[in-house]
Amino acid sequence: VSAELVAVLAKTGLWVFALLQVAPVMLWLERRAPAFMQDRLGPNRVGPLGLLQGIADAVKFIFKEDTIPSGADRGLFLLAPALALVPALTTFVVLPFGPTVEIAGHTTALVVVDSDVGILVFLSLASLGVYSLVLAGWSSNNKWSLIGSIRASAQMISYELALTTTVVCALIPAGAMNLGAVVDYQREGLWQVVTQPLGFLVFLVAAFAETNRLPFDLPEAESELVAGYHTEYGSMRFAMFFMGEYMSMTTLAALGVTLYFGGWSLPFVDFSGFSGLVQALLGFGVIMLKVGLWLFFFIWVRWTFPRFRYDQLMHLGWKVLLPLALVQFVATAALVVGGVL
Amino acid sequence: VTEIAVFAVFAAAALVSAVVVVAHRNPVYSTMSLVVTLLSTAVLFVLLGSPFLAVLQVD
Repeated sequence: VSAELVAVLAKTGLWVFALLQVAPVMLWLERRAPAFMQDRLGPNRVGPLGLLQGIADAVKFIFKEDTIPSGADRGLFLLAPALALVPALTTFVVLPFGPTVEIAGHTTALVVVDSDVGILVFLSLASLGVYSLVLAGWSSNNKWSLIGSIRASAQMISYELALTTTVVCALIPAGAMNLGAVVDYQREGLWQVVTQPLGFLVFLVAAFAETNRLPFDLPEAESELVAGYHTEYGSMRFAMFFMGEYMSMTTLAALGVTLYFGGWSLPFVDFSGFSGLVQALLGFGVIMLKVGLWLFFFIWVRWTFPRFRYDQLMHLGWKVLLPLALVQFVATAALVVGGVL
Repeated sequence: VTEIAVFAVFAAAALVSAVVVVAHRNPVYSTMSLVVTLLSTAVLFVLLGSPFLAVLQVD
């Protein structure tokens, strides 16, 4: 076994381990945090502070009956939840969590795949998530599921445009599509949330829509569509959609942190004095801390804003966010040409 | 050897799913096999050492 293979496996393992922890922690936080915001206690019976609630839920999911509706397209119905995990468990490969370091006499970049087309890999893998929603809705043989999945695909395609445009803006000053270069650019100067506030705002709103979170959770609007594309799913199959959604939130938040909040670096703090392994763990800890704050913001917004109407959603995406993203694009390009950024 | 094995698997997948696209009676299955065809072609581009084309192929 070559050292390179071990390095890739170790880095992948670190990410997958962290991502798998996200779902139970978010499950707990999503009930506890809003409970305190609404002056109640939330789940506090299972374990200290209710921390084991995630395990109780997992046990419940596993023991529930796994049903398949009679008119469903069996193959695609079973395939859809598995596809939901594909973007969540692949996009992290291009996200850097440290500089190039030396571990056990072997020099390695602290990113699973140090690719020159890194951000394109992220975006194209993330766009595969639409297939799972469309297939789930179509194969369920249920009109609510179908309407939910059609809404989901229209929404994701509309907001992907604005999201991608702001990502391009964030890449222009660094002059590279490698996310490591974007982090290096921010370490030398300001975080891009300061230099591109408009782009950050558009990215943030589009990120909510891309992950189907309130106030943009039209695809699973309970009051109109029962549960949208996953109406007919129960047991662990529902849990897979659930986990896929939280992991997609995490990777998208990690992309946002990398583009706008300096990724694995902290201002005024230099990790380069430590050994390679410590640098890797510190970098990963920093990026996870920033992602955690971002995820808390997701929850905070969810319990603050009501759901948009469908025409309002499309209006916001096409007539507000996209023009704003283009304004940021022109502004950034002009500043870079003018030598300011 | 690994390269040839990967090529064989994904070239075969691309060809078979391309046939399914035109042969299947159900349009949803046709669409999904088209996706499989495009992804397999993307893998072939990676093997040829051009990741940029591979990524464009997926999108």
